[in-house]
Amino acid sequence: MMADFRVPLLAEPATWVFPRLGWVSSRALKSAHPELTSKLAALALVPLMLLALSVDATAQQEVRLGIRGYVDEKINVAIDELMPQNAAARTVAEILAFDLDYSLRFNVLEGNPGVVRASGPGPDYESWAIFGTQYLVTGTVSPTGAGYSAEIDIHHIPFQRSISQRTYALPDPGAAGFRMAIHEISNAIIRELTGEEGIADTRIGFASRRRGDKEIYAIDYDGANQYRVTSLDTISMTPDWSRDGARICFTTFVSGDPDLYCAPAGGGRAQPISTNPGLDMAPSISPDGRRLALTLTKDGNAEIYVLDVGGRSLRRLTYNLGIDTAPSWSPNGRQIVFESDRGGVAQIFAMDAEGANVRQLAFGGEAHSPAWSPQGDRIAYVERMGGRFQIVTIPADGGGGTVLTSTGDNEDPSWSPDGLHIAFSSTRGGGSDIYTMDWDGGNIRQVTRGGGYVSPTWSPKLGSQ
Amino acid sequence: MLGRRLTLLTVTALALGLAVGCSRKQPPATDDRPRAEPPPATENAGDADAARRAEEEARLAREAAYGSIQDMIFFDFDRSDLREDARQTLQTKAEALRQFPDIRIRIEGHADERGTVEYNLALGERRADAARAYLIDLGIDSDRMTTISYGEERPAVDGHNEAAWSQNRRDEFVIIGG
Repeated sequence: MMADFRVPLLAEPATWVFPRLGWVSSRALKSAHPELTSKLAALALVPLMLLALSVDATAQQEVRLGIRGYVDEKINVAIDELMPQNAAARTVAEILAFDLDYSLRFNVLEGNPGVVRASGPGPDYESWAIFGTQYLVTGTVSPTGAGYSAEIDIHHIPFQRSISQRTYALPDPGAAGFRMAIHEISNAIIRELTGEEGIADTRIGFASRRRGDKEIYAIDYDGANQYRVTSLDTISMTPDWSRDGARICFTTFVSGDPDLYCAPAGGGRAQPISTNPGLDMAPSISPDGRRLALTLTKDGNAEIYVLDVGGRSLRRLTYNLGIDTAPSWSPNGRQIVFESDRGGVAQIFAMDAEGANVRQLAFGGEAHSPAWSPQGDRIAYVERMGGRFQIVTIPADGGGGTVLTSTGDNEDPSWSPDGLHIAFSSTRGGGSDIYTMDWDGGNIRQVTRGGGYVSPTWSPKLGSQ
Repeated sequence: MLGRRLTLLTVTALALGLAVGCSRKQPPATDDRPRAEPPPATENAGDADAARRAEEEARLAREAAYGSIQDMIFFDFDRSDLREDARQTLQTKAEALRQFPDIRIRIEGHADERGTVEYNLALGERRADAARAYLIDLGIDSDRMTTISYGEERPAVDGHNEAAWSQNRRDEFVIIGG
């Protein structure tokens, strides 16, 4: 399948591809040396490569602990200045560059290095080739009556030809769907060049603590367009985004006793799903959307149950005196990972979706909040180390863990739908905010600002929802 | 519409619950009723004084009972077993509850901010259950007590140190009837 999409590449000779160290995110370069980007052309390539090396080293705040690569080879893609140079065109270029860089499948050069000017009708392929560019994105963003029309071309630089031309309708930049429409262009480019599905059209839900209450909010994965999902004026917490994207389920005190409710992900009236005496909490919706794993205390202490949402039947999975909670489904829906303090201290366990074959997965210190990767091969969780919480991942079939964070308290990991990123809450900046990082702990990015934000849940791909 | 009304009711109930919980030095509003009644008209001033004194004593006794019933108990980190000081506090509570059998309470379990939201909610419930079970052992009718956990969501003391945490690992006792 992947090969089909890569047809334009054919059998490329390895020799023309520049060494990766010649490439640096233009974003990092700009932030370190803003005056340099326009003068890139004046620089000889060898100094540029050295510069790139040093910038890369300083831009990386936390050491990457490579477990193994999910993305084999990054593609060098440049995003030319989009024409005409209006605000909408610049926003489109910025979002495309962010999304492609974030996807981990590209080295992105954003903007035009200066020497590369089209002399004829097409781009100056040979000049772009000097920069090691494999693909070049060019285009125009023109106003229409109802918004903008983005005509985006993708060029294969070594073959010196355009391989894709598409036109996208964008709403007015002030409209709610403007950025999401651009994220869709990013996903189309990612699909075109890698055959993979991008995650630029995702959001992150979370709980916001204000004056003793909590409400559920959501935000685009890049930190734009924060909006409120619930307005229940009570404690609503631990949201979980349904795999079809339509609903967010959470625990709320709206009836006085903590119950499980679900609300439309875009905001709207919350409906009760599970309202037993005692706690109804820690919802985790199964990948097929038909079942809900949750924690109830109606039978004495915290145990894990599975609710068949359609038939309303309830099945109890755990039977012991410990606190069993925080269930998370494996991507095929056959297993559930959870936390239990049955041994005295909270630890990570897994079991079949029917409750059989319980086994302990992690054997470190106190551990909480496991989350099974959508790729199925790893489980992220939180472990207390030296009095602070850190995010750890382990192979789903057991084995040694890899610590991904080191600053502040870091909690509640939630995987992106492609399994390449993890959202989490962290107090590294003082208050608790939502951050994302790569699967190996690299590229930590702050998503919310201001503190009081906890319990992230990464949405599935939302498309035009 | 119904949901909205329920929300308001819940918020009001919570606010009242918190107000009662925070102001244990003052008699609850229900106690104002007997006090507000005019003294009975009688020719024997001594009898009237005695009646007033008895009434006042009853009011004070009830006030004292409210006070001891609302005394919080505290827990060690990540524990829900009752410490010796908590047992003594609960024994005093049990006496007051036996003395005033009309009083009903809600036991609210809380946790400090360390630990995850979900785990702390379960831990708070365990703490509320531990107090309830001990009061039942001491002869208090289980129908007179409900439990709820707020986990780490409603700290009594703000702060990110042991002084605050030790005050936040607690059970609160809210009088909901009587």
